[in-house]
Amino acid sequence: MKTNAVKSKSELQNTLQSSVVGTVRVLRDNGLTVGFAESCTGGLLSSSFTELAGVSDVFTGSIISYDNSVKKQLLQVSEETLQTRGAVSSETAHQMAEGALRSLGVSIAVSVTGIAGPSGGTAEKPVGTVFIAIAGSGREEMETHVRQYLFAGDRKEVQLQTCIEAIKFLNEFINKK
Amino acid sequence: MLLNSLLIQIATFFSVGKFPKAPGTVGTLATIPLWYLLSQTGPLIYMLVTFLLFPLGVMAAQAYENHIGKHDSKEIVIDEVVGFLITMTWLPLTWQSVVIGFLVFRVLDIVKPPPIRQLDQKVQGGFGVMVDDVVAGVIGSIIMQLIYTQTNWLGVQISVLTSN
Repeated sequence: MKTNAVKSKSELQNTLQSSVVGTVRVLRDNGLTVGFAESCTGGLLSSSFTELAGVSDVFTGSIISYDNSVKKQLLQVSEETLQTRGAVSSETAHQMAEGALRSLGVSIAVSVTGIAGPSGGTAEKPVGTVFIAIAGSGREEMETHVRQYLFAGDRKEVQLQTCIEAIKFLNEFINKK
Repeated sequence: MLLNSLLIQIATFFSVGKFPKAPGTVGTLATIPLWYLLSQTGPLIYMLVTFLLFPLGVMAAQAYENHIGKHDSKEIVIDEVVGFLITMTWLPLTWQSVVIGFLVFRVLDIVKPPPIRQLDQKVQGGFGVMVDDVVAGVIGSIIMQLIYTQTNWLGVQISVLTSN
C-alpha cells in the first residue's frame, strides 16, 4: 500500500520539495513540459515547482480554477458534469486535466480537485476526498488517468499530501511512457 | 430451534470465541475482514449494519447465556465484533486505520476506563454483555475521528478509477 507514515507539516513540506526535484529532472531529461489545473490546492502544486530556480523549461503554467465558472470557461469542464457529478468527481478531474492540456499546450497536464476541509464533506465524499487526473500522450495515444484519494489530517495537511501524491502519480505516468 | 442455534453461533462469531487464548482479541481480529467488506459499501450502509448488529448481538448473547447458564462468558465475542465496528466507523481503508483502531479498541476494552467498567459490572443479561463494548466502541470512535481529522497518521487511501 502506498502511504505516508506519520508526518508533520514541515516533514510533508520537505517530502514535497524533494520529490519535485526528482520529477523536474525526469521531465527535463525526457524533453517534457507540464502544467496543472488546481482547485483545492490553490496553486500549491505550481508553487512547489516554481520554488526551484530554472524550472521554466519544464513548467509552463497552471490554471487555478477554484470556482466552477473558471472550470467551465478556462478548462472546458461541462456544465452537465458539474451539475450531475459535482466539482469534486472523477469526471470533473478528467475534464480538468484534458482542458488544461489543451489550454496550456503542455505535454502532460495534472488536475487536482477535492475537499480539503474542515467543512464541505458528505457521506459519499468525506473531507480528504481528492481526485487527481493526468492527461498526456502515453505509449501510443492520448491517455487520461484518474485516481481517487482519501487523505487524513487538517486542511493544510490534505493540501500537502495531495501535492505529494500528484507528483508521485506524475512520476508513474512518465515512467510508463 | 434453528433460530436459537443460529443465535448461539452469532454469539461466538461462528466459534471464533472458543479460541483458547484471548478470545476477545481474537474476536476483534476476526472482525477485520468484515470491516473491510463493510467499508466498501460506504459509511451509511456500514453504520446501518452496525446499528442492526446491536439488537442481534443482545439476542445472541442472551441465547448463549441461557444455553450455558453463565453471564458474560469469554466465549461470547459478538460484543467485541460490534464494538470494533463502531470504533472503525467512517475511517479510510488503510493499514494504519486498522492497526491504530485495533489498539485503541483493545486498550479500552481491557483497561475499561469509566463508565465502561461500571456498565460491565452492573448491567446483566444479553444487554449487559453488549453495552460495555458498545460504549467502548463509541469512545474508540471519538478517539479515531480525532486522530483522523487532526493528524495524517491514518495514511492515504488510493483507488484507481479510470484509465484509458
